[in-house]
Amino acid sequence: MQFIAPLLFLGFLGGVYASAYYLNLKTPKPEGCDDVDVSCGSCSISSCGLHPSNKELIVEVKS
Amino acid sequence: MSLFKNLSNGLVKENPVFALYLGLCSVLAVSNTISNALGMSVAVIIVLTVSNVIISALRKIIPSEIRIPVYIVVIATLVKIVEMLMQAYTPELYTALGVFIPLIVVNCIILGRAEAFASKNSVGASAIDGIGMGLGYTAGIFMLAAIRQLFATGALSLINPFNQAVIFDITIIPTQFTIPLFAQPAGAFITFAVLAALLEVYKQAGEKPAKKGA
Amino acid sequence: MELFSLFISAIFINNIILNKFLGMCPFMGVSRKTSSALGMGGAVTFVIFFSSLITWGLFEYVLEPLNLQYMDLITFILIIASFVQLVEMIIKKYSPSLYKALGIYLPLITTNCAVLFVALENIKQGFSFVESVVYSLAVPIGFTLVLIIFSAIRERLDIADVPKPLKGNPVAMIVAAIMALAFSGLAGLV
Repeated sequence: MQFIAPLLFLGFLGGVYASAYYLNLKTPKPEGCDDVDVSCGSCSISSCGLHPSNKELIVEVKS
Repeated sequence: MSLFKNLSNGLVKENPVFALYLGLCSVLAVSNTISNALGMSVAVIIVLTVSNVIISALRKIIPSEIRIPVYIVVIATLVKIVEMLMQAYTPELYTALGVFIPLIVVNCIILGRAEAFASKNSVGASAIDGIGMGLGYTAGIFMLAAIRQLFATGALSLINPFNQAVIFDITIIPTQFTIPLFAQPAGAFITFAVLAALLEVYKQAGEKPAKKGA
Repeated sequence: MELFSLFISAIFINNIILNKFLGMCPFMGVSRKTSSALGMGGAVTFVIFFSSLITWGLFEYVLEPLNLQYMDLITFILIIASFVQLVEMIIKKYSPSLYKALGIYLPLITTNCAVLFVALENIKQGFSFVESVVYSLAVPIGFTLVLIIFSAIRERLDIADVPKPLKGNPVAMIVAAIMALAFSGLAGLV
C-alpha cells in the first residue's frame, strides 16, 4: 500500500507535465519571433521547446 | 563510431565541462576538494549511464512529442535514489555536497545526452557514451579541484567516503605560500577560465598540422 | 529586521551566480545583449517567485502530512516544468508582445539550477510563508542584477582585442571572477 500512493502521485504529476508540455508544443507561436534559436542553441539545452531539433513538432503561425 | 572513439570523444573533443560548457553549476561549486569532486563525479557517472541505458531501452516506446517529460521523470527518480543511497552510506560526503546532489537532475549534461544520443542509439552504445561523458566530466572537475585544493590549502588529500579513512594526504606547498583566493568563488572562476583557454589552445594546435598537411 | 537582512543578503552577499554558482547556463549563453539579459531576468523572476510559492505550499500541505517528504525532488521539478509550460502557453495565446519580450526565455528556465535551488532551499531552511516570499523574490533579483551588469560588460568585451584562446567564454569567466571579488567585499553589510 505504501508504494501505491507515491506511484499514483508521481503518475499524476507526470501526466500533468506531459499534457502541459504537449499542449504547449501544439500552440502556435506568434509571428515575428525568430531570434529565439540563438539563445537556445548557445546553451545546448535540447529540452528547450524552441531548440532547432524540435522544429518539425512545432506549429507556426504565418499570416 | 567505434567504442573507443565514443569514449575518447567525451574526454577531449566534446568534453562536457570545458568544450560544451554544460553542467557548470556543479563543477564550480563542488571543486573545492578532490574528495568532493570525485564523489560528485561518481554520482554523475552512475546517473548518466543508467539514465542513458533506460532511455535507450525505452526509445521505441516513448511517443516523440512527450519525450522530454519522460526523460525528466526517469532522471529525477534516479537522482533521488542515488541521493538517498548517498545519505545512507556516505553521510559526510552527502553533507559536503549538500544541495548539489539533487541539482544533478537539472544538470544539462544528462538531459542533453539523453536527447542527443540515447534516444537514437542502441543500449550498448548509449551506456558507453554515458561512461565516456561521465569520465570527461570527472577529468574536468578533477583537474579543477586538484588545482584549487593545491593552491588554497597546499595539500592534496583523499578521504574514503564510506568510512572516513584517509587514503592519502600530501602537503606540497608550505602553509605560508598558499593562496586562499582559490577556495573562494573568484578563484574557481579564474581557474576555470585558464583551463578552458588551455583546452582551446590544445584544440587549435591539433587543427593546425592537419590544415597544413591538407 | 530579519526579513530585510534576508532580502539583502540573498541579493548581494550570497548572490546566486557569484557566490553559489547557480544559473550559470543562461549567464554564459544569454548575456550578450543587455535587452536579452533584461528579458531573461524578468522571466526568471516570474518563474522562481510563483513556482517556489507553489512548491512550498505543496510541501507544507500535501507532502508533509502524507509523510511523502522523499518525493520532494520529483514533485518540485515536475511542478516547475509544468508551470513553465503553462505560463508559456498562456503568454503565447494572450500576449504576443510579452512573448517576444519574455516568453522565448521561458523554456530555458526549466533546467535552470536556480529555480530548483530556491524551491529546495525554502524547505531546507524551514522558511515560513513570508520568509519564502522574501527569499523567492530576492534571489532572482540578484540574478537579474548580475546578469545586466555582466551583459553590459560583455557588449564591450566582444569588440575588444582579447587573446585568441581566451576569446568568448574564458574571458567572460575572468570577468565573473572580478565581479565575485567585488561582491564578496559587501559581506559585512548585514
